[in-house]
Amino acid sequence: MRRMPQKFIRPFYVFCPIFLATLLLAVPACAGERFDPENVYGPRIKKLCMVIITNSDSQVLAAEKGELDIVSDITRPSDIDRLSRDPGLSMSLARGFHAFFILLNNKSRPWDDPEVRHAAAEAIDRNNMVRTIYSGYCEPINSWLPPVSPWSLPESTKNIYDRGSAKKRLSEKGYKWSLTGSLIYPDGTPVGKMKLLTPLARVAPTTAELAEQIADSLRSVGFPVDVEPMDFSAMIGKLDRKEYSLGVIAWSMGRNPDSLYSFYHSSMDIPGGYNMTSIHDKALDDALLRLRYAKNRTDAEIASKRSQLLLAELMPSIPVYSRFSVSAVSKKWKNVFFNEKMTADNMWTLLMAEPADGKERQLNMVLAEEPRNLNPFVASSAYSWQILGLIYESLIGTNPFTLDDMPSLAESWSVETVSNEGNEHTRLTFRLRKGLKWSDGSPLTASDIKATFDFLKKNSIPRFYDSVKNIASVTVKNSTELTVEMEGTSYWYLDNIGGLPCMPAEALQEVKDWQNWNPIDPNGKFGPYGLVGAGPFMLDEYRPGEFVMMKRNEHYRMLEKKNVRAE
Amino acid sequence: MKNRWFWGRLLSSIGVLAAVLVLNFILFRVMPGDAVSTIIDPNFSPEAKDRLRELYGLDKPLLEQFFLYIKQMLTFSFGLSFLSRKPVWDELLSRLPGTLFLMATSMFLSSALGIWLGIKAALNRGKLAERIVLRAGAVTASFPGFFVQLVLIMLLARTFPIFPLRGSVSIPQPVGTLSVTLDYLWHMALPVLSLTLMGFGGWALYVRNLMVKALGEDFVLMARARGLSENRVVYGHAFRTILPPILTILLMSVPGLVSGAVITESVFSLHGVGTFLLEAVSGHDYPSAGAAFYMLALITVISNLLADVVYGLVDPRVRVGGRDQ
Amino acid sequence: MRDILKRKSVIMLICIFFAGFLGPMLISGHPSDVTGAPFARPLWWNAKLPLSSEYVVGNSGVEINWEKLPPEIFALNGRITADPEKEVRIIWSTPVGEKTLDTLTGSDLYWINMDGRDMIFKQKLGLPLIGKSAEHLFPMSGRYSLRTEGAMETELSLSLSGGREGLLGTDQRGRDVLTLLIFGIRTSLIVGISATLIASLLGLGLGLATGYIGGLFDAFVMRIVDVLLSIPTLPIMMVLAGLWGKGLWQLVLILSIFSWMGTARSVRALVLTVRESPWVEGLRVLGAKRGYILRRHLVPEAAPILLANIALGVPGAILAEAGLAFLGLSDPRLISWGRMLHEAHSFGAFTEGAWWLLIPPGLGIVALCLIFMDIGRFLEEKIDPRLGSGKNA
Repeated sequence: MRRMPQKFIRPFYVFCPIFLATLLLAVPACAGERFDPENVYGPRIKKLCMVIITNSDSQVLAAEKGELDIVSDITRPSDIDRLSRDPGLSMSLARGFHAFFILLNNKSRPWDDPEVRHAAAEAIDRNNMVRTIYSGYCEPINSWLPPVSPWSLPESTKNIYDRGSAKKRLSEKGYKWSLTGSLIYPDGTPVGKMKLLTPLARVAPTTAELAEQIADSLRSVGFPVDVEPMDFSAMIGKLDRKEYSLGVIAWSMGRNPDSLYSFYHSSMDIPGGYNMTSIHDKALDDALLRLRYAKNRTDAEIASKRSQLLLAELMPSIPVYSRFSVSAVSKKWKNVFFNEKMTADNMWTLLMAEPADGKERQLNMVLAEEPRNLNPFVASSAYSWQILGLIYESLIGTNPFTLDDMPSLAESWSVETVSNEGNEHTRLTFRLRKGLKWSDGSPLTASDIKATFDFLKKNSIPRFYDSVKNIASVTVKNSTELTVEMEGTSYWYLDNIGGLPCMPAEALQEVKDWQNWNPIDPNGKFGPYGLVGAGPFMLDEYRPGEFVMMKRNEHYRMLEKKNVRAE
Repeated sequence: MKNRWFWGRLLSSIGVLAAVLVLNFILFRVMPGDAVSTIIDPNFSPEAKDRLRELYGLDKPLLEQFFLYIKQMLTFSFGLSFLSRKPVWDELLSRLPGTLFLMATSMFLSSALGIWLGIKAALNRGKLAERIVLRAGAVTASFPGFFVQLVLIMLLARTFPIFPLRGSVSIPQPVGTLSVTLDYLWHMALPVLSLTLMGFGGWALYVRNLMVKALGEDFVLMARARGLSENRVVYGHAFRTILPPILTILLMSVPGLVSGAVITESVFSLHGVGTFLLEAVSGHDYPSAGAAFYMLALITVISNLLADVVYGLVDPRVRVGGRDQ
Repeated sequence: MRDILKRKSVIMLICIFFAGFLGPMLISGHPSDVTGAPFARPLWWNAKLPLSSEYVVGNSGVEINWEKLPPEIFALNGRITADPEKEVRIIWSTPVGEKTLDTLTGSDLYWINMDGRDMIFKQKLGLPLIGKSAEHLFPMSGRYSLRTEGAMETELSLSLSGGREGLLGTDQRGRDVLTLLIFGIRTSLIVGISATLIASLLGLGLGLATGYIGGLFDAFVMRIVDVLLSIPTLPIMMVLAGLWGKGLWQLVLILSIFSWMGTARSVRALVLTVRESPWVEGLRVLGAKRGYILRRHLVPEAAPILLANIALGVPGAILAEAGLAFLGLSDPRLISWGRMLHEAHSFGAFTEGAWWLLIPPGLGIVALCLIFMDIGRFLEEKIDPRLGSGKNA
C-alpha cells in the first residue's frame, strides 16, 4: 500500500463533508424537472422487460450495444467510468441505503471500553479505502442510519479519521506501545492477537478487500488484528454466539430508525437476535425503547435524535462508508427521473418514461439475479421483490423528493393513541382513494385490505410477521375506510401496516396452501394462476434464466383520465 | 457364471450408492450454519426466523431429518428448495434440457473429432500429421477450460462481436420456431465450441495409443496377410477391438462433464444444472444440493455399471477370472 | 535417464523453478502493493498514454509540459505553512484557464491530502461527479502549472499516475501484474507437485497392498475407490473448502484425496499380473518375505508407472487448483494464477479490455502443464517404446 504521510488532517475533514452535504442536498432534481407526484400519468410504456443478466461485464456490454435501457446499481468503478463515456447513456448518482460496518464484541477486551472503540473508529483511513477500492464512488459515514434517510442526523457523513486523536485516546487511557508498535494494556499485559471475521472473497469480494485495509489501519495504531475469511453463515453463527473480536458486515439499512432497536437494545442480545455487538447501556436502552414505542411523530423524532447521538457517543460498532448508487439510462428515453436521493432506475421513471423518438417499444431493464420465486408470501430475495413491487401497491408510498410518506392506495390516514381502561394503544385509520380497481378490473375496497391483513396475520407469514403481529383487530367502516387497532403504542405501526402489499380478497380465498402456491403455474393446485395487484404493472411471462416480462396494468390508478399529463 | 458376476457388480453398485447418500447427508449437516441464519433484516426478528425454520423442517431432530432424507431420495420426491420454495424436481427438470444439450453436443463432437484424429494419427506414424495431433492433444489438455472460454469471449464476443456474450436467448426474443432455434444455436455456439476444443485432444491421444497397440496385434497382421483392404483392416478389425474401451471411457466421462458444465455455465451465464449446483451448495439449500448430488451419484454409478457390463459382455476374461477372486 | 536433462521442457521447468523461488527474494516490495493506477497498460503498449510521474511543488510552484493523454489519477499531498490571517490558494493553471483547487484560511499549518477521485474534489471544481476528474484537469497538450498563493512555505508533492505502468500492467487495484505472476509460480508448483506426490504415494501404497493382499481388504478399498469416484469432484471440493478453510495445505489435501484412485488402480493391476508371474513365484518358494518382495521387486516394477503418473498428474492438480481459484474457492491472500484469472473475470477486465490480466496467468498455467506433460510422455515412452512417435520404434 502506498504509504501516504500519516498526518493529522483534521481541519480538512471537518469542513469538507459538511460542504459536500450542503452541496449535494442543494442539487435540484434533474432530468424531468420537478413534478407533482400526486399528478402523474402513467405508466406510458406498454411492456417492461426485466432482463436477467448476472454477469457485470455482460450488463455493461448490453448497455453499450443498446440492448439494455436501464442498468441499475453499477458497482465497479471501471464500469462506471466506461459507461460515463458512452454518448448514448446518461448517468445518475445518488446516496443509497447501503452501509458497511465493523462490528465489535463489546463484551470482550479491549472493546468493552468506549474510548478504545472510538480510537479504533478514528484509526480507519476511510478516504483511502474509498479511493483505492471504489475510486471515490462512496462516502465515509459516521451514522447508524443511511445518510439518505430523512431521519439521519446532519453530521452523518463526517469522516472522523484522525490517527493522532486515536493514539491520544489510547495513551490517555493508559495504553502503551511495545517496541514493535503493538498495544499493551494499562495493566502491562500485551493485547493478544485479534481476528477480524469477514465473508469469503467469492461471496463478497469488495468486503474481503476492505477487511484487509481495515486490518492495516488498525495495526498502524497498534491493534494486532488479522483477517479471517470464512463462510458467511459460519461467520453469522460466530457473531451470534459472540465468539468473535471484530467482524465486518455490509448490508442495506432501512429508512426508519426503529430498526436501531433490533440492533442495539440489550433485550436483543439473544441467540438469533441482532444485537451482535452485545451492547448493554441503560441510557441507550431507554432512548431506543422510547423510539420503538413512540406515540407520534414528534416523540419519534426526539427519540431518534437522542438514540443516534448516544450511539455516536458509545460507538458499539464502527460505521465506515456507504456506497453511492450509480445507474445508467439510455438517452433514447425521455422523462427519466432522478435526484440526489434516488437514481434513474426508480418507479417514477418507469411510470413516466417514453421513447424519445416517439416510436412505441418495450423498456429493457436489468435484473441482476434470478428472482426464483414470485409467491409474495414466500419470496424473500430483493430481486423477487423488484418484480413484486411493480405488481403490488401498499396504502402508503414514498415521496421521491423527501423520502417521507406519501399517499398511495390510501389518500389520507391518521394515527391516534386511544386510552382504554388505563391501557393505551395505537389506532390507525386509513381512507382509500375512490374508484380504485384491481388489475383484473374488479373494484378495490377496504374489505380487500382487511382480508390481506387478516390473511397475513392468521398464517404468520414469516416475512410480514413482525409487521402484523401487533394487530389487535381490523374493522371496515365502509368501502373506502378501515381502522386498524394495534396492541400497545408505536408510531412505527403506521409504516409497518402502511407498507404491506395489498391483495384482493377473492384471490386470497383461492389460495389453498400459501407455502406451495406457485402463481406462475397454470396447473397449480395450491392457489390461483397469476398475481392480481393494484400496482402499475402485471406479470406477462417469466422465462427462468432469461427475463421477466411485465405488461402495463390498464386499470392502474394513475392512468385515470383526470390525471394531468406531466411533461 | 455370468449371472453371479453381474449380480455381484449390481450389489456393490448399490452399496456404493448407499455410502454416497450417507456421506452427502453428513457433509451438509456438518457444515455450519443454516439457510435461515444468514438473513440479516430487521423485518426478520428471531421469532420470524424460528417460524421460517419450522417451515423448512430445520427444527426437527437430526435423526428424523436423516430418515426423511433417505425416504425422499428413494422416492425421488426431493421436497422444496430453500432458496426458491419450489419443488426441487421441477427446478432440476427445468434446467436439465440446456445442460443436456450442452453436454451431449460437446461430448459427441469432441469424441467424434478426437476418434477420427486419433485413428488418422495412428495410421500416419512418424509423419507430420501424427506429430500435429500429438501436439494438439497435449496442448489442449493443458489449457484450463475457463481460460479458453474467457479468451474466446474476449475475441469472438467482444473484440469482434460475432457471438453473443451470454445467455441462451436474445432480447427481444425472436418469433417463430426457426428463428428461435437458430438464435439458440447461435448462443450455444461458443460454449459448445470451447468444450469441444478442450475435449478432442484427450480423445485423440487416447485413441491413437489404443490404435497403435491394436494395429500391432497379431490378428491385424493376419488380416493383412489374408489380403484384406486397408480400410477393412483398420475399421473392420482394429477399430472394432478398441470399441469397448472407447465405450467405457465415453460412459465414464459423464460425471466429469458435470464439473465442466459448472464452470461453462457460470462463465456464459447459462441457466443449467451446473449453476443450480453451485447456488445450492453456497446457499445451504439442503434439499437442492442433496438432490443434485444424489442424481449425479446415481448417474455415475449407473454409467460405471453399464461400462463394466459392456466390457464384460465383450471381454469374457473380465468376468471369469482376473478381477475379483 | 540422463538425457532427460537435455529436454527443452526440463530446462524451462528449472528456469521457472528459479524464477518462482528466487524471484520473490529479489523483488522489493510486496505483491499487494499498489504501484499505479487501476488497469494500467503495460509500458510497451500504447505510447500515447503517459507514464507515472511525481513532481515536487515548492514555494515557486512547478511547471509541467504535458504532451500525452491525461493521467489516471491526480493526487496532491503535503503541507503548507501560512499566516492564519491570510488566505492561501492552490491554483492549477491549464492552457485554457486556471482553476482554484482549494482556498484555505484560519490556520498556520495546513495538511493537504487531495485526490481527483474524491467527490469533494469534483464538487469544488464543478466537475461531473461521475467520470475521471483528471481528464478535465488536462484538457489538451501544453503547459500546466501548480502553485500556491499567499503561503509562507509550500512543501507539496504532486503525483500523477499514468496509464502505463510495469512490464505487464496493473490489475483492478493497481498492483503490478508481473510481480503477481512471479509470486504465483510458487503456488502452482507447490500445489501441483505436492498434491500429486501425496496422491501417488497413497495410490502406490494402497495399490500394492490391495493387489498383494487381496481378499476382503482389496474388496473394501476398491469399494471406497468406487464411492470416491461417484462423488462429483467440483461440488464436493466446494463443500470441503467451505468446511476446512481455504489455506494452501487444505487445498493440497483436498486435491490429493480425489486423485489417488487412478494410480491405485494401475498399480493394483500391475501387482495382480506380476504376482502370478513365475519369478515372483520363484522368490516366494525361495522363502522371501512379503515385505521383501514388495520393497525390492514390486516397487521398482511400479516405479516407472508411478513416475509417469506423477508427471501426468501434476497438470491435473494445477488445473484443478486453477479451477477452484477461478470459482473463488481459494484463499484470497494466496497469490495464484487461478486467482488472478478469477479477479480478472470478476472485477471487469473484460469491459476494460485488459488482456494483460488474462493472457499471462493463463499462458503460465498452460506452459507448466505442457512442460509436465512432455516429461510424462517422455517417461511413458521409456517404459513402453511402442508409444514413441515412430522414431524410437
